[in-house]
Amino acid sequence: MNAFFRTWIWPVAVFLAVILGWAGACQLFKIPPYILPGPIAVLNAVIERRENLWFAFRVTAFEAAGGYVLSIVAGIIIALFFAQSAAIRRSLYPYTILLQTVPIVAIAPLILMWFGSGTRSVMLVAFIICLFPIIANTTQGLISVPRNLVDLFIMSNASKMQMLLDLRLPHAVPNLFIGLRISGGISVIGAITGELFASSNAVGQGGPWLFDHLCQQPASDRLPVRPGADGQRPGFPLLFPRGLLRMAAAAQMA
Amino acid sequence: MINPHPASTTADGQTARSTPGPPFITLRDVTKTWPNGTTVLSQIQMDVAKGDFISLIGPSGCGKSTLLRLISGLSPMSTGFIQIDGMIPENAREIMSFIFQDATLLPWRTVSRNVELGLELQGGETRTGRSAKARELLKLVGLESVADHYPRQLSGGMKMRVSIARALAIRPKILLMDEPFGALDEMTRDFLNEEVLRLREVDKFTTFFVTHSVSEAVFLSNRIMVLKANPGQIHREIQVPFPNPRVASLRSAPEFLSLVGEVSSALRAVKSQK
Repeated sequence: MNAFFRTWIWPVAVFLAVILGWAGACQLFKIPPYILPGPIAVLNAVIERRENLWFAFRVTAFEAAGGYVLSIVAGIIIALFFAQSAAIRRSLYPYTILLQTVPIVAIAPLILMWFGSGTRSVMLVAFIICLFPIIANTTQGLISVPRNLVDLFIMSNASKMQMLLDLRLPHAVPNLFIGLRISGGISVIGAITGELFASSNAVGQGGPWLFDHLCQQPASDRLPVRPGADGQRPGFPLLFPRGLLRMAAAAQMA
Repeated sequence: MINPHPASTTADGQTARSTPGPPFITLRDVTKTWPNGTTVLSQIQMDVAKGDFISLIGPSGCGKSTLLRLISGLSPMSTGFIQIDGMIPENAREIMSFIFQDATLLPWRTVSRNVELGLELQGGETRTGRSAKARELLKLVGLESVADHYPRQLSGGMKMRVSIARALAIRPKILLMDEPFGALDEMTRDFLNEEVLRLREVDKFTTFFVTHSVSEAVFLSNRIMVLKANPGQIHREIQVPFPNPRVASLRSAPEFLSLVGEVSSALRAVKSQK
């Protein structure tokens, strides 16, 4: 009991401090609710809109998880291929870096244009953003086996397959997990980015669809988003960061 | 004392020195040059009888570890030839085990499964058979109680004993040891030296042992090769006449100490040549 208490006292204290600080700041500085609503207002909005939010959460979670799982399978296969030779890595690695450095907001519209703006395309956006961390980390793990361990396997006349299954793959597992941790988080960003573009075609069904839906309602101080001046959906530059923040908040609360 | 391989013990052991005919291992004009032109080993000649315990000692850069890699076939020689029981090194791996400076245990396998590794990679043995063999070997090195532990739970000395058990599991005729106890404290090292000699009584494997420690070399070997560097060559061979089995008290015997002195002065001579 005592140990349990010591484990949880600080995380709980910090959480309460953040919530109280947030509520206090809203009160103290008289921040209008359409700039920053207090925690209670947000909680009320979540409860009030729980059905919509829950639906949106499930759609987005499905898309994010789908892209994530696909990226794990494809990433491991590609990493196994990359681990075969330095020539392969030198020739193909730059393209994976390209995949990583080109902003996902630049790729997403193309994918939606090519593959239509359904769940599949959104999943593909999540997949692309998740792929690089898996490839990079797994490849690193596969090729960084200590030389002595490789020699040990050579001395046992191990086949290439044994070398891969009994040495390289298990050795790469910790690295793979680093990749999984990074990609797990960004898969949601990928899915939401995909949805933003999908919803601009009025076909998306996830968070941004809900966002649109909410924006079209009369302005309400319980809603933590400000609609455009004339009640229209706000322009894209405005929508993008807020939409992300809001969806992140919704995901946390749901 | 427990003997996991009763069948072969005496056969190898007794014929070791008396059999005429070709030596067990032959090295002729063995030379190794790196791609950048450095000659690391030059014109090494050696005849090794079954059951020999040969220590390779010398300053760093004399190529003693490289020589071990050439004998194991892990690294190709530039010129010359090595014959092991009538085979080239690459084909003789089934009768050789290599023990590295670090224990090279697989961290994701238990101690017992680590010992099984060689048998598993070779195939031809059931899982239960392998596991039984691993237990026997762990008993032999006194580690049966940690068979289901993971390597990270063991001390450095225990890890090394697991590594030795793994090497012995395939019943090698030749054991190649590359400074296996270099990273251990002196007490553990002395203990493991005695363990190696005790285990050798069982299978009489022929051993190449790379070391920096003179007393370790004298305690273990029947032949000590003192190597010089630039290029690596055998400077001098020193025979160690002490009979087996050797006991810990040998280390304080006057003959032992005088031989340690002799090897040390040979090493000094080699170093000053540089």
